[in-house]
Amino acid sequence: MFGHTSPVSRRGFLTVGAVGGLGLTLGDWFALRHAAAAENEYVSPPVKAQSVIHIFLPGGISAQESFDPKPLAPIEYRGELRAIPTKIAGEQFSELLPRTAGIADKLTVVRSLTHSEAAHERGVQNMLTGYRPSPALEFPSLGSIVSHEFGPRKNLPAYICVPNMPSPYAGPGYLSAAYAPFSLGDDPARNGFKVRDLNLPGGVDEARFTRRREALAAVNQSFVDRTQADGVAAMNSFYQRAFDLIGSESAREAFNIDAEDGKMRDRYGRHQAGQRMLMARRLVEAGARFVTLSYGGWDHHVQVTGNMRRLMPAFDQAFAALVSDLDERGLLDDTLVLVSTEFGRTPKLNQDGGRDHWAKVFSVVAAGGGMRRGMVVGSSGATATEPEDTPVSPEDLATTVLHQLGIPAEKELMAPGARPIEIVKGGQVRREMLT
Amino acid sequence: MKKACADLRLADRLRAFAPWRATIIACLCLAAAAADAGEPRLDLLEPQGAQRGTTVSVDLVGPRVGKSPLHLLLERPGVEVLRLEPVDGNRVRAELQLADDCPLGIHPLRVHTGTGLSNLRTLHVGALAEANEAEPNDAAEQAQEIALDTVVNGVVKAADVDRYAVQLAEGERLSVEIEAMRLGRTFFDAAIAVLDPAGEQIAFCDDAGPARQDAMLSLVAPAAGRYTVVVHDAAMQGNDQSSYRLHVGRFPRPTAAYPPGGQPGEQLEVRWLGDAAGERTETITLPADAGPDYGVHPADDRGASPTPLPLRVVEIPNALEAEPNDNREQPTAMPTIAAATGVIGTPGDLDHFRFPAKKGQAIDFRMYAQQLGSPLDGIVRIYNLDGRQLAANDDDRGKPDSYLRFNPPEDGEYLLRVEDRINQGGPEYVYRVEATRPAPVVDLRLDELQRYVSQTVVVPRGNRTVVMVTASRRDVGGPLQVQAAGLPAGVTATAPELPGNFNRVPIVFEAAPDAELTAGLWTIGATPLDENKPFATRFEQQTWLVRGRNNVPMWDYYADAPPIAVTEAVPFRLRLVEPKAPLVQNGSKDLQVTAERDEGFDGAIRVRMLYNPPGISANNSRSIPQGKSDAVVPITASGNAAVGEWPVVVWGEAGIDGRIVTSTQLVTLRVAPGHMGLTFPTVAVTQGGAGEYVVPLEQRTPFAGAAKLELLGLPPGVTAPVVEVTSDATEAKFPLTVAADARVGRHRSIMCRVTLTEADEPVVQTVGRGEVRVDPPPQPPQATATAAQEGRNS
Repeated sequence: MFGHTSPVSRRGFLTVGAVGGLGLTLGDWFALRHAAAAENEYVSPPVKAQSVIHIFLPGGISAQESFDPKPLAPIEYRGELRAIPTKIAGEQFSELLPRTAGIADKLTVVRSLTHSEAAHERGVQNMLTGYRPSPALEFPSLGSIVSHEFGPRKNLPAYICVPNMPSPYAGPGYLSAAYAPFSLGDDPARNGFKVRDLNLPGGVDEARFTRRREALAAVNQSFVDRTQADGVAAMNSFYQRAFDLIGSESAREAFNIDAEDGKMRDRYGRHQAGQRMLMARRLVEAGARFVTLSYGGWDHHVQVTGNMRRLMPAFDQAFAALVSDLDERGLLDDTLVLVSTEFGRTPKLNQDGGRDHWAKVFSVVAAGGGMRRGMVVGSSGATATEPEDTPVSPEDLATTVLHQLGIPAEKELMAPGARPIEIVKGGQVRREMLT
Repeated sequence: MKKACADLRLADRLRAFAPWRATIIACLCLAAAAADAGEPRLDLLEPQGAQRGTTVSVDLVGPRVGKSPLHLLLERPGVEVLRLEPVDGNRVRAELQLADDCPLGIHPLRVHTGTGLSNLRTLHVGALAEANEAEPNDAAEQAQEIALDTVVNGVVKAADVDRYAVQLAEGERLSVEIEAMRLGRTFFDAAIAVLDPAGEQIAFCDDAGPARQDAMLSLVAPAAGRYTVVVHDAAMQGNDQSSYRLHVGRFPRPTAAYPPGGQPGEQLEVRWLGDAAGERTETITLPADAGPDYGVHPADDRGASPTPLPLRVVEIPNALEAEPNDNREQPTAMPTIAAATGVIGTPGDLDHFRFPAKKGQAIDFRMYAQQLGSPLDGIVRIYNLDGRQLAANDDDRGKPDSYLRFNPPEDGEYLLRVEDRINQGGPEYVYRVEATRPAPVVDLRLDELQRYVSQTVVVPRGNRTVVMVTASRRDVGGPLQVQAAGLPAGVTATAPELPGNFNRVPIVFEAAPDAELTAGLWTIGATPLDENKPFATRFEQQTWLVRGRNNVPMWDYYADAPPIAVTEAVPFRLRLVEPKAPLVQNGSKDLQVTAERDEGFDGAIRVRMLYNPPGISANNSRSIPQGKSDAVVPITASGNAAVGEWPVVVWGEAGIDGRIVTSTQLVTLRVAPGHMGLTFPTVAVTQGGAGEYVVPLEQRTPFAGAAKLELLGLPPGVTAPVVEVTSDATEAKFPLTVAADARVGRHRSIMCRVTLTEADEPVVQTVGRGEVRVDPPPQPPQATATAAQEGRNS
């Protein structure tokens, strides 16, 4: 199944031929339009990052328990975890990030991310698209923008989600469905992992597969003939491209996590975080431009300490391994690794020992791709209540990431209704983060 | 949802504590049962009910209930335990003798084992013969034949429909009542229907006020023949847990009582409403000491209702409405203090009562309607005789029954009006509005240490346990003393005084090493420490039996006395080291917890503060590690932590084939203001240079020796030595050394940690915040121009 993974499309249940069985609905595709570039003036910045690995932590991770501990605040603020020194002089991370602390000199830590969307759905949209949610328009995710601007590279889809789209807002928004992410559909941490549609389903031989594909083409063709909507054709070409992957040996190999040395798999960790990040590294190494991976559920309204103890060690191992591995391979300078989330969590622990949603200030972390190494940008003050200095907005973050990829955020794309819309509006390239 | 607990004078239990109140029957001699199992959990009774006057074997099922079971803790009379025998670790078989006069309805029970006391489940005692469902009975032709006057125990499996056939004579009353949600097992919203011999549905019930989410109905057979009772889930769901008890018989099944209450000892003439065979009047002698959950099972020559109708027994007279009283010109007169009682008999009906009142003498008006099973969603309003509304209320504390307090603006007559929220009405829309003088009362409850798990007191021999009491004062203030009475022999309870400005207090229970292994109910109460302020106390404990979506309570049991059990000794005892020095505002402290371990037990013990005094927070994820004997619980105080002496206690839990909980003793934590006040300046320094950070001190509390002051949060590359000051110092001077690569910028989180010693203990205070700005060294003019150029280019 490519693209939309939301359980039920809001637009309806009318399905497009055999594609319907894959969860796509006609309403979705009819609503889509090709986005043509509008002709405003822009200057493409030089390309600093060839690819992006976006590690998205759904639910909203607590900065206090990860990258922005408050060891001097009372326990109700600082929580129950200790802070440990990092390789950035004078800066501390949570005790749950010992390995990441050891490579902090390769990281850019932004401790003053701020927005005003403290509900999950809205926070996700804001962080994945760089736009505040609008009832009028669904905006494309950064990955889809990259896919739209650059297209595939070395036979690999430009935008890949590991293992699935972390949210419906990781999709192409108003852009054509052709720019939706290719989702693995299976967890690389699982034994017997297989990329969906990349391998023939068990019991299906080559001849039967070809027959099926011809039948699908026939059904789809009748829809393309009868409807002039762009959506059907777009999906068709998207599927075409995805099916073509099967024939491409190099692409197939990129998805083959078993080809990775056992020691390397151990280094990343034989868990979800580790194998997903290792898969992401393989994919960008092979040519993918934008890989979004998600790990964990960080909506810790209850018992944040225990939940962080459960989830963080795997992240710590995998993330430190990813950054070091990329650096050792000489890939870190042109691969931008971004760790982001929906929003942060309340300054004080609640009655249940958890923290609730807090969008006013939280942390994101970047590495490579022209980001300044060993840098802490901004501060959340003594109690992580609001940015004390250098507030950074999701628009700024998106603009900065796109800038490193060589995409000018002020470039206009054509949204439905022939409306030219900036890729990201109102953001600034944050030089503090860059070399 | 209120418990449906009838005929039971709970006040008896509350008062008579000296004799051991609850029925405890020791049945097993345990050969020195060792502590080899943690708290038992009771999931299910098989069967869930039985007929009174019989002896029945009931299996009690749940993790660890079968490990050294000692007793059943039963709260109501009429059930005798003849034998109690473990089947396996998770099942115990009880032979129960139900007396001929055993109260009908719900009998809450718990299993007391050598190591714990289970949660509460309910046994349901009926008057009719028992039968079991025999599948298949889904289709009309498969209807299971049952005799009239039977209780069928059945299960509505997924999308299941159960049918039962009964023979009725012409004119015979058929009453059907189902206990489903009220069995407290799962969210099972049962519906019942009755089909006539031709297969036509002639009666249906999904929910009924007195039966809550369950159903009840009665009908008179229009002709002789074979009638079918149909049971299913209201949404055609169901599962293996959706069990029910279906009472099918000739018993009376009224749905409302009028008037729904009277005075203690009164001969109350009650009209039973809503029965298909017609209204019936019965004179009931109300008990002298009925509890808040008193109720009566309507009975006649053909049987008794399986579940009761609640009646209020309060020492105020009834003021029965006299229709017509639909407008303020025709009110029913009532005394100031009385129970305005009536029926919103027709849609749109309004009932008016006229009462005298005096200025300055407030009156509480509290409605009892839905609490008594009435469908009325009542509103109460107060008017003056000119028709101006002076007070009104719809819902109270999230429940549909209204409450308001009326302060009469002057001496005179006023009107009380009762109406339905959406102008519904009918013969069963009974209400009672009790007008009383506000009386000071303290509501006590035990905090749940685990959410949705009602707290029990399980105290191991030679050890301690603790509960947290919340005391909600209404119309009363001042300090009070919480008390525990009716404890088993060998068990003592300690509770500190509760100051007037706080509402939570711990009670620590301690059992002697030779305390008897017993279980029962105890009484919790409170007395004023200021003798001039007497008040009443109430206690209520909610046992969550069935929760709906978003944890909405669907069916609960409310007890008026908490349970306690003494269990076998456990292999560790916890002690909290009493701090000698205070915790100061903006300060921190390490509480020391030690464990005395028995040989052979070296498991980890989680320790956590039972509660935090105001402004204090604690680290609650610490453990005494495996094999170790102590742990530190760090606590901190905010700047506005409440100064004073606070009782604190730490509880610990270990996994010994289940969860074992004990506590430390109570110790006193003194919270004090910091010894000195600090003022933080803003200082600018230059990379590679030096500076001085001078902190003015305001000395508040003298201290011996020297206090160490340490600057925290200095920018990377800036260092300052620790400075020592004495009790008379007016400032602390920190020389700053600034490295050439010190981080440039404003650093606004400069704090100071003050450490001094009192009573050989460190007193630590961390205050802030100041600013140190690090500037780059001044640059030659040429270099500056270049930098500016670079800035433009970037």
